[in-house]
Amino acid sequence: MTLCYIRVLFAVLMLFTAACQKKDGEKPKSTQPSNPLATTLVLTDRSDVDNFNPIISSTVSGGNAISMIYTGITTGTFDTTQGILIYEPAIAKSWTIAPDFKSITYNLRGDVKWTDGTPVTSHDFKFSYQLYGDTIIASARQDYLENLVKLRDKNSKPTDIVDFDKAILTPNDTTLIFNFEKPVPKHLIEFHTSLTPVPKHIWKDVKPSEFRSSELNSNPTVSCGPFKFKEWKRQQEFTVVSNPDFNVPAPGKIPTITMRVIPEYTTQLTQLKTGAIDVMDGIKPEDAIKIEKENPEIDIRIVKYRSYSYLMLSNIDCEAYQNGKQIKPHPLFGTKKTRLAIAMAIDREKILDGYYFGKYAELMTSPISPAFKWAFNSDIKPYPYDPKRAKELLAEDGWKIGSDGILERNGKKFSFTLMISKGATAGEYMAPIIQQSLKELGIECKIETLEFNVFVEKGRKHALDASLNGLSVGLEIDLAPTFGSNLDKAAFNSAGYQNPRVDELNRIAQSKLLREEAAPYWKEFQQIFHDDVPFVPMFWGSRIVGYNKRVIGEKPDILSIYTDLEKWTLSTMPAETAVR
Amino acid sequence: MFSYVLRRILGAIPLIFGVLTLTFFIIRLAPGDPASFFIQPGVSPKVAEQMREQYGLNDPLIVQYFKWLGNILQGDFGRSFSRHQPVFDVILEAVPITISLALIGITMEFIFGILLGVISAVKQGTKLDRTLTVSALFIYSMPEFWLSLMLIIIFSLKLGWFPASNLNSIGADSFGTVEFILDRLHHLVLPIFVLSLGGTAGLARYVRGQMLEVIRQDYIRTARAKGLSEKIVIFKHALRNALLPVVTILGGSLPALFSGALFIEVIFAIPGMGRIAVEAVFARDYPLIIANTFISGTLIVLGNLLADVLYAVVDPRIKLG
Repeated sequence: MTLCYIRVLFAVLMLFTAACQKKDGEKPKSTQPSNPLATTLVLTDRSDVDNFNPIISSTVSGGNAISMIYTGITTGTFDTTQGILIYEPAIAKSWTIAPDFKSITYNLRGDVKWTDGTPVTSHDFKFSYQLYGDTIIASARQDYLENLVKLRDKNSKPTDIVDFDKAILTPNDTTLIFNFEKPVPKHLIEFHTSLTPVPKHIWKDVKPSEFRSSELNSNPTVSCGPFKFKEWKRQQEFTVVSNPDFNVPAPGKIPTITMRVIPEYTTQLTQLKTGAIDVMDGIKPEDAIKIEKENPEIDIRIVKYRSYSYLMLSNIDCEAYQNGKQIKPHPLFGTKKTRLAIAMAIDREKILDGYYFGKYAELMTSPISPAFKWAFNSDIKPYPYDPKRAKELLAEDGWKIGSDGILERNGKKFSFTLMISKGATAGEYMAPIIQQSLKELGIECKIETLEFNVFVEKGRKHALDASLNGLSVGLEIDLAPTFGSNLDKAAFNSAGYQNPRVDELNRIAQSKLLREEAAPYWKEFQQIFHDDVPFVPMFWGSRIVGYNKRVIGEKPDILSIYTDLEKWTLSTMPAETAVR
Repeated sequence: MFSYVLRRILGAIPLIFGVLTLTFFIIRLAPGDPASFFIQPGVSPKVAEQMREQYGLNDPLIVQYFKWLGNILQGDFGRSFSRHQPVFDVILEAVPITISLALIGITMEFIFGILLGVISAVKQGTKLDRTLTVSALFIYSMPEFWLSLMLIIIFSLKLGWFPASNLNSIGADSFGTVEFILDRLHHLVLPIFVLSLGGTAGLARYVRGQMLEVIRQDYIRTARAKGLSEKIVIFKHALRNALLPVVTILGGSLPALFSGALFIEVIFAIPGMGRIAVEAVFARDYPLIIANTFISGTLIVLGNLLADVLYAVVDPRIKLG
């Protein structure tokens, strides 16, 4: 019997050996036409796409997939010289904004077709916007419709409901007009009218209540993009192939793209190093440094800056807020002097050098990204590392060293718990350094870790005294979610910061029709931020992306790491396979 | 026997129902909210509220419970919040992968566990036995995720022998059947190795203990006295008796067969039940969590029943009733 097992085992091993030998063929370096990898770009993501429907997709992976198989009315590109989003023709060949900034008229190309041959018309756009605005479908992008003309109530006052008959007009197949309730800044007009359309003739019979459960969400056989959908194996991979009929402006050059789901970071990194995947996002600084030294076949590229980290110090008394939403100053961090003292006590340069190797992040001065050059206030300098001055500030604020070496004021010890989210590697690195810096001032800082969902919920409910947070910023500046005084609406204002002038500045800047008119208000906000220290700004972190060198044409930017994907090629592609 | 099994199954129904009810309330009391995924920069706060309404989370808890109960009694476990599919479709996609992984894993576990256990018992007290004992203890206590990552680094990154993730190579659909199966097996080597290693070590220790007990019995001495070869004594007389209690371990393996290997599936990017369970918990996907609990609970109950029945089958001294 045992002998029999051994024989079977031997046979299996032989089979594996055969498969191992075949492994050589798996390496993408091969240029044999028969090797599918030679003509397939292999991407990866840590989570699967949620669906392939631009109306309801709300994940980054879903957005990436959709941008491969759909195209918009215009194409947004990021102008790094000014830090603004500019729009170029796509399905629209031209557009005109009315002098009163209350409408935009798009002239569509008449020769763009869905993959089933049906022309893309203005009616598809209007129909899609109706879906985006449907509250039963609950699109994450319904805010894009907030400026469109609304239905009137009995007193002729606008309601919250879009009047699609007046808001979006389609006089013919190639003319599309959006009408707004009031003048809207040019960049917002272009941004809010750039939502991706879906084919009306495919979706028109799907009821809103059944929209999210429709099979079409997972099998988008009719689309209009440089690539078209081929297959989705849930939780494993999806595959798209070049769409030869696409003409805005041309089909994708790489014949096949596969996006594989690999949840574990180390596994992804291994796959990148072995050449099994071509692109990896979110590489940790320590690994990026190693790759740059040891893996010449991988290009490390960095994208600046869409996300920042900060030390949240609650401005308001958490207990009082839990107890009937009373707003009282926090007993420890309620004054800006104390918050400033903490900001000056932390040696952020040390973290910058230690964790980010001095090159994958920069010290943060304000929550407006340095990438948005037109609005960024470069006159503001980072808080200096000055523990001596920090001690003086604390003394001025009434804190005195107690018998146990811990600061106290009115009998209250300066002791708190710093919460970090589980798995936040940067936070795990920073927390002990912050703890040590504060200990030198006489502040007791305990560190605790919370599961991500619990961490987020507690922060949103103002139940955390202090935490290390990270936040991504949108492409259009809006302070309300992070600094708005209405704490019920400001989902990311976990510090409970309230300043009526900031609310006002946000309102004024957003109402300006031209960016240059809005810039002074954004710059004033940054000065107020610097003076008030609502939280301790830490770093603007780079997005670190690794590309296998066989990938040609990649140009990651603040919009995406897959920008211009349709123009990419692979050095392993035989010349005749490139789709022209 | 039949009436015993029937009684046990009937008794399990309220037990499983109780577990599901407890799970229903516990997950709703846990911090976190399925709709919180929609609270992101650039997304209107009203979207989260609309999704809560769609998920039925704005109803009072007791109303949610009775709605859920009504659906469960009709066999409807609802739709997954995070995957927007009926939960049974989600599970049906994952179960075949998990079962095939677990079946191969358990087979390996039993083959090598029994073999090493027997060798260790027969060579009791020798250097080989001591080496196997220490190795088994070392392997048994090794964290699976650490071992997985080490194997990936050695066999995938350094040696390039095996792929580090997924079930097949790119373009495997265009392979012939044999090539496709070989490719699949090639991808499963590392996960199955990790999956079966701990079990093999544990089983080897168990078999060793059983064998040592059996080979001290009088009938083994008699067999040897009769002049039978050592091979026949060990494999025919001793092993058969030593294996009787081992067979019942199969019953205990049943839940693992379906519930999946949590770490292994995440690390090796295998879309099985383990990964579903982890992701459902992180996404606070209530319907999927409850369906997973139902499957795990049912299998634990059935596994225990199977173990009891196997005891009676392999050992005539045990009577069920």
